[in-house]
Amino acid sequence: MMSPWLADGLIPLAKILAVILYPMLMVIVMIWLERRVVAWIQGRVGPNRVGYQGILQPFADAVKLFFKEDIVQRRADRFLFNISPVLVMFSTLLAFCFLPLGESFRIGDYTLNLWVARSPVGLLLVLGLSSISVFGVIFGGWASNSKYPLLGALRSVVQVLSYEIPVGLTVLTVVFLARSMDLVRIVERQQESGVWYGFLLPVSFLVFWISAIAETNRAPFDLPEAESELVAGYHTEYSGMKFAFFYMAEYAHMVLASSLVVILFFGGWLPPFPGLKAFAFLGAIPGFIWYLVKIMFFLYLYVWIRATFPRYRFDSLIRLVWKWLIPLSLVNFLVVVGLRYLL
Amino acid sequence: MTFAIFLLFALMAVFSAVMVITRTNAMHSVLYLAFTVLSVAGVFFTLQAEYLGAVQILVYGGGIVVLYIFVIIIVNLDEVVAERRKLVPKIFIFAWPSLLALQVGTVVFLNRPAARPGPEGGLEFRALAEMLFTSYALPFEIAAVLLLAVLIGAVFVARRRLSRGPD
Amino acid sequence: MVPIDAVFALGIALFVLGLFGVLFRKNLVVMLMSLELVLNGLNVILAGLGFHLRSPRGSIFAIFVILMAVAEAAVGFALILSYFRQKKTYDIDKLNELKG
Repeated sequence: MMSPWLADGLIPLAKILAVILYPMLMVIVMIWLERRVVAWIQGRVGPNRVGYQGILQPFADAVKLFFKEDIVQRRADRFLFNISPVLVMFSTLLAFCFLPLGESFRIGDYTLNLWVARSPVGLLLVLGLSSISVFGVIFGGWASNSKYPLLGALRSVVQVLSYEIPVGLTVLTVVFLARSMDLVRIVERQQESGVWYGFLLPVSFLVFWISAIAETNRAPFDLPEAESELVAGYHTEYSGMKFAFFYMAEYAHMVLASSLVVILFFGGWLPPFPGLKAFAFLGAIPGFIWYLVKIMFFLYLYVWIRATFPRYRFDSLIRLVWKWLIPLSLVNFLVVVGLRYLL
Repeated sequence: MTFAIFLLFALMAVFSAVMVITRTNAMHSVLYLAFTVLSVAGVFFTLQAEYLGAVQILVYGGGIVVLYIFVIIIVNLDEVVAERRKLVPKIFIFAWPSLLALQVGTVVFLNRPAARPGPEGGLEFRALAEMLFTSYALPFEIAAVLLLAVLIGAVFVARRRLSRGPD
Repeated sequence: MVPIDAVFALGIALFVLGLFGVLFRKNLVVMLMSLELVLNGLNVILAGLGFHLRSPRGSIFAIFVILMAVAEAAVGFALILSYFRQKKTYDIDKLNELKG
């Protein structure tokens, strides 16, 4: 019934467009959310002039960045300097292709999947692509031919690489429970077992959440780009639209990390208590609404944590991961496996 | 359709490989190595070796290439090494791999396995995991020990000698 | 489906390009990078054969090759760093102390 042009051509194209637009929309929301919420927590008001309650502030920022002069240092490596923002954005957006947004819809006899691609190793791919994003950071730092960016880039890369280890280990406990690395299957398994994995694996969730904050270079782990420490870290020398790319890619990475937390530990598109009949009325709300609500909660948590905690010194940061988080996640994995076989 | 995507990734891989070996700036070579690694991962996906593709991106892309970048930064490879050779060695160096490629290509294309229609449904991930942990359990464990040995060895060889020790 | 000829061609092409890189270039780090190209070409052939013969052994073999590449790269870098600290150069023409 559905012509092949539509099913194999137009709909995938529309999905690819959605994959590009969805993070950008979330970025716009995040910019506003961050500035207002941080301001409220700090006892001030935040931008509220540019539209009703400052809603149009992100657009004002975008226009400003668009018109800024694009400066490239004389001794900078032009090719790498120009390609770094593209690399960072590319890897983050590519990872969004593998994230499922909700259950599949049936339209007539065609099943519309709310994901662009589904792979039996989807989880591994998302992790791999988010570790590819360090390329843009380090090339940007090196190509700027300047001390602060290079230091910021190296610190950022060391931080991201170190915190990938607890991410991998905690994700391993989820894969162990779900018997699959397919993100869609993990959510389906949470539905079958009737409880979100976050309640079964609280330690995994906590370690994963802390590591996710560190992976996205967000406070309190944002030394590589902190204003008072390194001027602005690896994007010091960037101006105008290229800086905007780094900025947007960081927020998109935050959305990616939040999505991953929601899918792995909080049931993806499932309503709370998916197994209990008493709460079945919550299923009336479509899956992706629940998904968006949960993601917004974690994004708000990101901003809340940023406004609350002081920044970690870099060696404390590294000591935290190597001496505490990695042993903790190893022990956690052993405990989960042991409990699973005892119970 | 899959063949078209395979061709796309294959051309990208070959182009990036040529760029790797021809750039004078080592950082540019590393960038093109990253592109080659990602293109080869794409090739793996078209060959339905999805786990291999994911491992390639994670280990090669996220690990080895980053290692190369760090080495270039630490060693500070700004100096461009002059690539000078005499003519006769150049001819030999060019001829030998080309002849090797021709020879291997001829042997392979004459003896290649019969073209079958190709598998349906793709490679079962479960079959790979089962085979890895049953038939290949010993190489797996040995690889783990090897990585541990390499970790300790590399740290030891590359450490700064802060004090005049026995060596 | 992907014909096995194309996979072989790509694998051999990457292998030979890596070989060219190792033989032609004098920069030590670029030589190591060309070695990685060789190993990638190898992996392409292995994955293609695994696909063609419908066996997971191709992928498993390729995973082990990747592990070997990691090990070799790590040791290679340690040696490069030590060498550089001693000789302050990475031009292989100057690293010829064993030459008789």
